[in-house]
Amino acid sequence: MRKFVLIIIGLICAAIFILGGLIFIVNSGRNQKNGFQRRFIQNVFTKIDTATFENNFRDICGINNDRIYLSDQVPGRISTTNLNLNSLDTLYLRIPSIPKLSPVFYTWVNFPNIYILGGNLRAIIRGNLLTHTYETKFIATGPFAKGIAINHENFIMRSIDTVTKQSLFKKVNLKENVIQVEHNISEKNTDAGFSYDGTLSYDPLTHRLLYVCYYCNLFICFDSNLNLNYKKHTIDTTYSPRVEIMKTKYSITHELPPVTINANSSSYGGTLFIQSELKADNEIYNSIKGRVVIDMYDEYSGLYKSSFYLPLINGEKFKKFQVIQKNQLIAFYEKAVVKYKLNIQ
Amino acid sequence: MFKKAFIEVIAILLISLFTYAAVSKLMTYTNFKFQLKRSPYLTNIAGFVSFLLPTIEIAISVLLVKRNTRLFGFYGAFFLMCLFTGYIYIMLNYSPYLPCTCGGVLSSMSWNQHLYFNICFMVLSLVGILLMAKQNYETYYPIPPTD
Repeated sequence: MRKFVLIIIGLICAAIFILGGLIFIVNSGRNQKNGFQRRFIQNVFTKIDTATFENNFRDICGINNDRIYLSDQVPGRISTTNLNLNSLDTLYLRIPSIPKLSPVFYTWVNFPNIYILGGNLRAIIRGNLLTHTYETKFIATGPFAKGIAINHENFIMRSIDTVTKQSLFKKVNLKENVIQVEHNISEKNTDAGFSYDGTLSYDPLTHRLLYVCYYCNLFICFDSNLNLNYKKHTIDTTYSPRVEIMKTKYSITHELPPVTINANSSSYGGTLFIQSELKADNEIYNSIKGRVVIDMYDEYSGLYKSSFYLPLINGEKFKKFQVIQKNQLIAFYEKAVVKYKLNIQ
Repeated sequence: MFKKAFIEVIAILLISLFTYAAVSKLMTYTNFKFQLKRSPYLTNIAGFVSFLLPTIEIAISVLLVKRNTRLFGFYGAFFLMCLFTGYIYIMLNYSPYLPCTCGGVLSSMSWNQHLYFNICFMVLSLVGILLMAKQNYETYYPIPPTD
């Protein structure tokens, strides 16, 4: 019997050894030099409020005086909390039941108006939270992956041309029924925008749109009339997207897990905040393991300013963040939602 | 008698699992290899693993069928389930990306469900080993009759 027990222990050890070897090989790549350094500032933020919500929120979709509106995975449902995060009300919207609206949709609230942009649906639903009236407008464009409501009539989206497979920014004016296509904003692509996929944010104070690529160090600034302001680079040295695309007859997708450089971004009051996934040469992997690094850039010049860390909360995975007012940042974790006050100029 | 029947049941369950998993992988080989490539820990060895895994699963099934090789089949099943369980644990807790789990009906399970499923079969394999070990022990060292 002893022999069998020893064999079982040996098998367990062999399995642990193989898995440990896999992890070691993957982790050993994490301490490599990336060719850039960060400038850290201390005491950047103060934690103001923390809340634990059971809902799995996607985004902050609007702010109105003392209310924050949150969208989740269901297009017909939004939640609202106060600025102290100590209450949560769920609103069920009486939007038309339209197939294909979920999961690619973007919700924006400019109280009392609400806008739901359906990417696969190629439609915009406009509604009023007070009167509960909604109208659906279908737009003559390809499916879109990002969508922002600039105002009641104008919307910016990153749309895919189904013939050329190019992904371009477009501005839709619903009142005049006009679709304006960008000129020289996007990098040339024929892979439906996979290589240069990224996050799109709108700064309501400067009225600029900032597009930050996930897989390379490119970020683009343009205005709401699709005039390019500049194309700049983040401080890391990943000039080409590290992605491999697989095209089949019916689909385009990633062949390998893409290497994410910039996971998330938000812009407010002339500052662009970018959550970076790369370790700087003046950082040690173990020291950043439990933290999220945010790099700040001046929106006007595109120049790097400095960086700071956001902590993890209760071991929960960090999901995303958003800067909602000039000196406030809201961070979403798995369950926790935390509001920080930023002590920066 | 009960012990023998229980061993047979465990063997049948494991044979069914591994045969089904291997055939599913081979029938959707391109997609299986593609999904392996999307795992951050298996990207560089996806081609090798996509060939080796169904081969080992079929080999274990064959070993489990024959009584005189069944113990080796249980060892192989236990080792493989340890690897699968450990891999799923690592993916759930440390991986930034969760690709499709693959394997026919198993792909309809979530990663957490798959983890519990694997733990169950790991325990079954272990029980099979211990029962066979005890059976073999009693075969070679029978308790002498007390007269």
